[in-house]
Amino acid sequence: MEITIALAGNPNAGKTSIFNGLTGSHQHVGNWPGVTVERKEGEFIHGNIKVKVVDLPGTYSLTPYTIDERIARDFIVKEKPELVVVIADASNLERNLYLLIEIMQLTKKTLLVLNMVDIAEKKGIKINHQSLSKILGIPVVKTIANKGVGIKELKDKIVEAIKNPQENVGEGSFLFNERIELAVSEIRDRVSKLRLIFPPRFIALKLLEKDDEIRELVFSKADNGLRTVVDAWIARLEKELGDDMASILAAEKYAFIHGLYNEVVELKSSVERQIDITDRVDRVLTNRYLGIPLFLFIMWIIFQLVFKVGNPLADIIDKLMGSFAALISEVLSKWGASSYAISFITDGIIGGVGSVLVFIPNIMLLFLAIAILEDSGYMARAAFVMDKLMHSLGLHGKSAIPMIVSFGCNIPGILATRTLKSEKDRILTILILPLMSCSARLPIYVLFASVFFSKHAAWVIFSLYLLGIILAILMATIFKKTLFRGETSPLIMELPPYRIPYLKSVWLSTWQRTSMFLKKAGTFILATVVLVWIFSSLPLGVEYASPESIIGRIGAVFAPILKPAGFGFWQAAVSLIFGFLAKEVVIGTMGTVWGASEESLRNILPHYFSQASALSFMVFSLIYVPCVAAVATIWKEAGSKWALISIAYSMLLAYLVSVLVFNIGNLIF
Amino acid sequence: MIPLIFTKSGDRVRIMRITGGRRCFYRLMQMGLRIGDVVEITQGGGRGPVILKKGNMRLVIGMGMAGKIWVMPLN
Repeated sequence: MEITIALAGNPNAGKTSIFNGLTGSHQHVGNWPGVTVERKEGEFIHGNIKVKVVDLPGTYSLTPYTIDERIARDFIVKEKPELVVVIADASNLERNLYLLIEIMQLTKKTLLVLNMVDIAEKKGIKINHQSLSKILGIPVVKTIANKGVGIKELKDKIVEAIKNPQENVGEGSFLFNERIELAVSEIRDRVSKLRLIFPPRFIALKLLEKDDEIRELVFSKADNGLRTVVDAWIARLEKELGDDMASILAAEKYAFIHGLYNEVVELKSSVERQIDITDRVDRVLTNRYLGIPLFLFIMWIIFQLVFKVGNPLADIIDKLMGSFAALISEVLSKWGASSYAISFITDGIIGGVGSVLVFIPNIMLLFLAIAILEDSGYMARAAFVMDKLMHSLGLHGKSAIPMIVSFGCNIPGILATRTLKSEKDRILTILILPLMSCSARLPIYVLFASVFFSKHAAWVIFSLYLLGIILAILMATIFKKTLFRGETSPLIMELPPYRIPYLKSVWLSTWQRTSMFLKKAGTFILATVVLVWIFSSLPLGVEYASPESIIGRIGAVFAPILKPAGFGFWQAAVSLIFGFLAKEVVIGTMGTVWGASEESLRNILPHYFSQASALSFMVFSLIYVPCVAAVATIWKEAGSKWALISIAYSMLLAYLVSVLVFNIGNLIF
Repeated sequence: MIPLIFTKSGDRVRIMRITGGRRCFYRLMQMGLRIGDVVEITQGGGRGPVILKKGNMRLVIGMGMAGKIWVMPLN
């Protein structure tokens, strides 16, 4: 027997830990609201039942208010999971029950998990789960998911709940005052004839709440009579109860939850008011004056870590790759391989992929830093600290999080914009995200900066990141004044408590992201360098990667256009063209067209670039076009129009800025 | 009654009215903030978003939103 269950819950309720506990799958446990935007699935076998688990996005309710909430609601309604497991943070039960009540209006098959009971008890909150289960009529399980406590019992209860569905659950468990119930039952009876996918009672309540989406859905299918009835009830109830219908219903729901809470929760009277560590840390980190300098300081430390620690490690890898290539070439020539084959393997494959692999230490350290920021709870503070600045740029405070994530890779950054609930804010953020310099661009900076600005390399790289931010600000202002006029939507966000990052979760996240990069190096980048090698070797007989080769001719077409920016030679043009496939490939392509390892590239580059044109090349690489994968993600998330706009504006901007940098650089150096 | 934006760090206030749209109202409800709640201001308004604390929960409320929430100072 195979069945599907869904996990639902507030952000930061520990949903991901439960998911990992149940399925043993390696997922990331984040710490800022909204980290779980993708649909994740896993499975476990318990008893003789195979259970497929779908991890729904973290939500506070089920209005169609954000994409996350819509995804969660539609999944429950349309795919009808066998059981919805609602995970609640036991130390903040009241709010978590709100979501449970909403879900119980949609499906009778629910199970409540009280997670993090250890933290709740530390705070003097003791929950009587048996009586909670009795009142709600659903199974309730206590867990401490990050320590693996209660997972087995949860599996037992899930299987038990599937085998013996509870009968006395759902509509009866929570009733509004009788005036409202009268309206609900009349509307429900009329609605049930329409046979919509939502339960009739749910629709009746949403109609009374004046939920625009449900109104449209229902009224487009019903005759005008229904609309008249609904509006008449709303007018009548609002007059009788003296408030807006939505407020009345919300207040009633809360009154019910509050009553329930008082019934099942025992607050220890002698809760010693410990000095809260989170408050104390916040007093410094979110301080009005210190907040932004500290944010910049933390970013600066991260860059120091990434380069000061990463570069020596990178050197070791480079040496290893060099000796590996030499060894292979020796072995191959012993076997009598043709010079073509040897060149293909050493120059093409080892040279190309090797020059990318060298940057693994830098990239891994960057991902490590991002994982620590997420897990410790600082990410959400960064959004807070940056809110005022973001706001003055016409962006949303929450845009700061996708922007920071984008320093690792633009793609998760683009996906992270899903936590922005206004479409306008979201697209605006997506458009400027590619200006956040992702880790794939780092190899270019590291190589060029260390060759041309050896002593000041770290500063040069830091200023490139800063340039990206400044351009993002500039473009945001321009877009805001032209394409996206109007107010930004309000910021309301939860700040999770600080915690010491879990080693395991930080490691998993770092490894997951790094292995994505490795996979890319193994497939995409390998395919590209092979392609480059072939184009460099054809037509037969030409000297490898000479101007007469196919690649030389392609590059030569574009080279004159790039001349005003200081790098008007075909090798640069070719690297940039292939860089569109993935920016890691820029250096890889250079390695291939010059038939050089990273070490020898260092000697070759000064023959082609001056300090000014090296700087302008780095600037161009920073701005010109997001990589193919990022463009595809933008396409998927925002539509083809915005993907094309993104390509067009970044090309233009890259050209303008790098020409400017080159000419100013020529005056200075 | 004053808008939340005029509160100072350390104030204890009771939420009295929410004058934003239905959506704002709902959003606050879902996040666990409702009329009648007593909350502690850990970071006052005026020059940026407000941070308030209710029980173990900390919420950041942007300046725009903070202008639409009316509160009664208690101390």
